[in-house]
Amino acid sequence: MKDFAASHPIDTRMAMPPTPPMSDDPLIRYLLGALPADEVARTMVDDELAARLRLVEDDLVDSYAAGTLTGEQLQRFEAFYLVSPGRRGKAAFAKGLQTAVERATHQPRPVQKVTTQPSRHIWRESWWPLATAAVLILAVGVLFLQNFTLRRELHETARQIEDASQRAAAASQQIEVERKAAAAAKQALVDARTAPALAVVSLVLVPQTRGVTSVSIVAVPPGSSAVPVNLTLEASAGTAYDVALRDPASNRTIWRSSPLAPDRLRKIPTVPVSLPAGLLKAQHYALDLFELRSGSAPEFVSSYAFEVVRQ
Amino acid sequence: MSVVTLDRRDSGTSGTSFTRLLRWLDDGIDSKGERYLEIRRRLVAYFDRRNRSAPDTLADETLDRVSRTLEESGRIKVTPPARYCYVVARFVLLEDIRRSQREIPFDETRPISLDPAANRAETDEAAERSLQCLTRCLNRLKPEDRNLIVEYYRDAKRQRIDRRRELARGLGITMNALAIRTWRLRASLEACVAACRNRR
Repeated sequence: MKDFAASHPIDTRMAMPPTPPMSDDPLIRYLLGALPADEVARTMVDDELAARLRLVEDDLVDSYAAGTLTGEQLQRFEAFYLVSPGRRGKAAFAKGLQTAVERATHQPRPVQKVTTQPSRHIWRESWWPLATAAVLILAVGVLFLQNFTLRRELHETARQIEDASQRAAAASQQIEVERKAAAAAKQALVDARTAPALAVVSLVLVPQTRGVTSVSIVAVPPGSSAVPVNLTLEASAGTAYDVALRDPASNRTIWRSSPLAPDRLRKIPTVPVSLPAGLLKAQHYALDLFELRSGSAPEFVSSYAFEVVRQ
Repeated sequence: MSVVTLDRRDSGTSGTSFTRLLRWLDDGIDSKGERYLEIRRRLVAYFDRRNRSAPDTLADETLDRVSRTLEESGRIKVTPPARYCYVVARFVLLEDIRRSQREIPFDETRPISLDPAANRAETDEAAERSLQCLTRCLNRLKPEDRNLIVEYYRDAKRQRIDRRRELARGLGITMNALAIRTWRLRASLEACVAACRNRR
């Protein structure tokens, strides 16, 4: 076989003169097999034209794939272009690319989702922050409620503590008073023990109250037959009274007086009574005072506690 | 710059000759082999448009002859190199036509008429296989390139032109530069799909 290129040296005489730019129409005709040979040379040599030829070819194939080729162009495309397996491959590729692009553009896009389904999109995008906000609001509400409850309990506790403090202070004050009274009573007992037992001094007893009070001490000198006691009255005095001596340990009445008249001359009325000294032992006793009224049973007035100290 | 792998295993050109060929095609500008690929692509297209059954082989044959001439003569005065390649390619084409003993006149205007239905006979299965390959190849692209391809080829007519103008404006390049960029992406996709189909 003759190697033309090797046996025929080619020189610059084959260089072609500059030619004007070629429009797309001759390129399309070339692609469809209808272009003079000298024009074909330009598509081989001119870089810009070669690039344009490729673009025009792609557009032509795309048009065929899209079904927009008509008339003579379609006829020539099918009669010439599709003859080559390689070009048929390009046409098939164009068809596939078209399908792929259609699929890609018809797939839902994030931006389109925003336009068409704003609420669902926004909910999908922001449900975490919303949930977090809801939890925070709930937590703040619970904390606020707890805080309110704790503050109320704190106020209640403070009030109770204040009441308790006041009660404690009152109790301390009373205890101090009783302590002083006890000390005074002891001193009186000491004085009574040391004093000569010639005179009998009546003791004034006050009614027993529910509070903490010191018990009056009655000193019974040796040899005495009676112990005089004045029972103070809280209310206005009645006309007649009687007194019962009771042992608080057994709650048994061990002695009862005859009717007694109150002493109205004192600033505070009292009921004087003389207790039999022989009955009194060194222990605690209670005197129950009853008002005597005609036509009715004796009415309990008050009770007086005392401790007997034998000298 | 992309690394170009040049496969010259089927060629009779030696390593030294091939290097000389690359240098000559570059014409003073080192293209890292891109110029060789570009010229070969044009030659393949040229032979394909002449409906030759083996356009790749004829393109390689053309470049082999150019390389041998370079070896024997030491230099080729014709410029640019693409012009000399085209001249050689015309003779290679003529020889191939004669070899095939077909009575086809050497006329660039001659249309070839074959049965269109037979030409379009690609089965649905093959089309689906190609589509799967294309989808796979598209997914291998960088997201911005994939988006560019999709946006560039979507729509039609006026809408498509407007979209391409917007794309070019958005990228800060001319319409022509945008077309070349997408053509490169499309060419790489075509090559990827072809390789994918050959593997299956």
